[in-house]
Amino acid sequence: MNPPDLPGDAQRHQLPRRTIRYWQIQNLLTALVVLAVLAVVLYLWTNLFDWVRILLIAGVAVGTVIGLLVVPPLRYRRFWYAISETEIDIEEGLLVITRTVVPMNRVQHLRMEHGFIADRFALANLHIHTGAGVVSMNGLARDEADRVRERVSELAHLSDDL
Amino acid sequence: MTSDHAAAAGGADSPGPELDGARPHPHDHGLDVDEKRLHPAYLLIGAGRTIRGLIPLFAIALFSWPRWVLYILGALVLVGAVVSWWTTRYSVTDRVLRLRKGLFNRSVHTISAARITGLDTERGLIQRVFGVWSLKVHSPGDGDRSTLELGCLSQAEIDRVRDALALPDHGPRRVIAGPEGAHGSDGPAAPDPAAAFDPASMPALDEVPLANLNTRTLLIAAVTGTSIPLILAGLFAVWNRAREVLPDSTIRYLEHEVFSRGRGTILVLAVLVLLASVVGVAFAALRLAGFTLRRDGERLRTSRGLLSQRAGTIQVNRVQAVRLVDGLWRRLLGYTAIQVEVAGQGGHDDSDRMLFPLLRTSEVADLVDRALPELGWTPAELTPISAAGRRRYFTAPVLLTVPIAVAGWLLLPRWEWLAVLPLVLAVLVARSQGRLAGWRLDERTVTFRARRILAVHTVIARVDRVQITRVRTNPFQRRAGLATVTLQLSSGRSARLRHLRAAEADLLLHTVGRRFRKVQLSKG
Repeated sequence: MNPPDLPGDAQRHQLPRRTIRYWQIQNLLTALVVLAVLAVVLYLWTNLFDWVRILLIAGVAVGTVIGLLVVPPLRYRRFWYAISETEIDIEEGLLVITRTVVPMNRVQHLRMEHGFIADRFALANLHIHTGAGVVSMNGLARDEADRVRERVSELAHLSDDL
Repeated sequence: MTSDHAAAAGGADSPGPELDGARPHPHDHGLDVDEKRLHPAYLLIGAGRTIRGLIPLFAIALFSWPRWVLYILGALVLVGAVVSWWTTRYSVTDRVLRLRKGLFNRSVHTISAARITGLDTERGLIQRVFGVWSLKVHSPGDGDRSTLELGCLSQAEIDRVRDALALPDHGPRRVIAGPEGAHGSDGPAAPDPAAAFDPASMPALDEVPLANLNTRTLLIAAVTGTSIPLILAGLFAVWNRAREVLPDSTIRYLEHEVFSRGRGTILVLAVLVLLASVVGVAFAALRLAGFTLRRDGERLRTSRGLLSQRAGTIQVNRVQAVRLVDGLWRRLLGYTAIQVEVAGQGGHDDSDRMLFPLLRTSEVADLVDRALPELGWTPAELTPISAAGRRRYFTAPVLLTVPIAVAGWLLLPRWEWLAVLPLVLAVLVARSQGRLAGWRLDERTVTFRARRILAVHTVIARVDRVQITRVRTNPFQRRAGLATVTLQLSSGRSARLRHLRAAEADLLLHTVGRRFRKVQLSKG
């Protein structure tokens, strides 16, 4: 028995390249917060051993560099999505890769959101809600997100045998 | 008999209250329940619940505050109960249940009968005295917030609400062949499904229950349940608390008394622990006593409890999966608990999804088949995990426990051997996890069996009801050609099987939850 192909077996869509930039800026903001916290800790906690201080600083520095330069391009390379009339098929991850299949008739509602950074890049995050949880696509092009949203709400029959 | 009611239900669907006065025929679905308050017993029970929540405050007030503070507290509780009773009103209009609450911060909960996944009734001792029940209305959604509770309703009121909500059946009604027909509730005087919802008179139904919990199994369920570990943990917590509160000298004196006075005191302690355990077991047994499972048309009904009683209904077509749980001791004794996965009832309350608390593992398949023939489960040998996959089960537990073992070895002089214990346990658990893990896919069901840490869970899900299918791989799994599959159910719970072969995972991903299956299989 050979089940028919999933949408992702045929045609896979990638995110726009500018999503990498968007993720980098998001990570940069996170890194700034972590740096601020670290600075406060080092300033207030004066009786720390030197090697602990060095370890902390080095750890945060390495984390920041990885988060800015390594993670976003890898995440971009890994991510794809495909949507057919019957399924939504998404693969994402970094080291741990997850492929998720949501049958179209399980979709309960869709939520699109975009913050001010996403706005600058004309990107949006799309969350697909089902009876069992949420599947998210972060960093879709805004017009593409609109198209996906319309297509899914067209295809999703909102009755479900919960 | 059942199809008659379906027809009646479809026909008499005109809005607005039609009948008043005498109790109308229970199957007039135009029947509404006018807005009204809960049974006055709610005053007492509501106040009781508030007081129970405030026990610490009252204790402090009793000992260290002037007496009038206590009176004011009491008066506040009383006023609160009256206000809460006065402002809580419910109604059913057009099969929509409305619950209004609140004096300043008003809220209205609305839930349509079509969305209701289960109606449970339960009552404690005080509620029994007044002859009232609380009604719990379950609907799909996130956990506890989706459950509406109507605090105190009389027997007749519960029947009226139920009739007004009378769970509609979508599409052509399946006629249940097999056990139900055989037990024959098709005489003219037979109770019809909705009117028969009379938890107190349940044993009087002339249907033969699918299963009763016998005394022996009841005792095993109570002893192997969670009550004894909970009580031991509770005693330990009390002791720790006492150490904080009591002066050091007292604690030292007590410890000295217990640990150096020899056998006498230890015996007293042992007897105390034993006594606490017996009490715990007794309570668990009272909760489960008289557990009965019935099938009534498109519904499964459970009822149980000796002192405080509880009755639940499960819509058969809402059941997404059956979960068989074998705890460690229960597995050794050859017993299994059966749970159902129903949308919106995945919350932490195990008892909501209990189909049958415990029975011999060998009888499980038969009971599931009689209770839920729609599941179409044919028990069969599961496909085991490949040898390479079984080896992977050791990785995480060993990596986690080796540092503990090393640290223990270095830090615990004289007790070095104890440090190895976690590692040994981890290896044993991992070995068993790898051996027990298995899966199976047939036309209608997908089965995953996996040991968590101690308990073994077997999830039998309807293939076409799985909500989300996930295949996850880490770099090591990719190198070994293995993958982890997760099936997410609308109960909010999921079934996960680790280290399947990549091809097997791919087959599951391409099959489970998809719509094509029926077409495909009818082709051959």
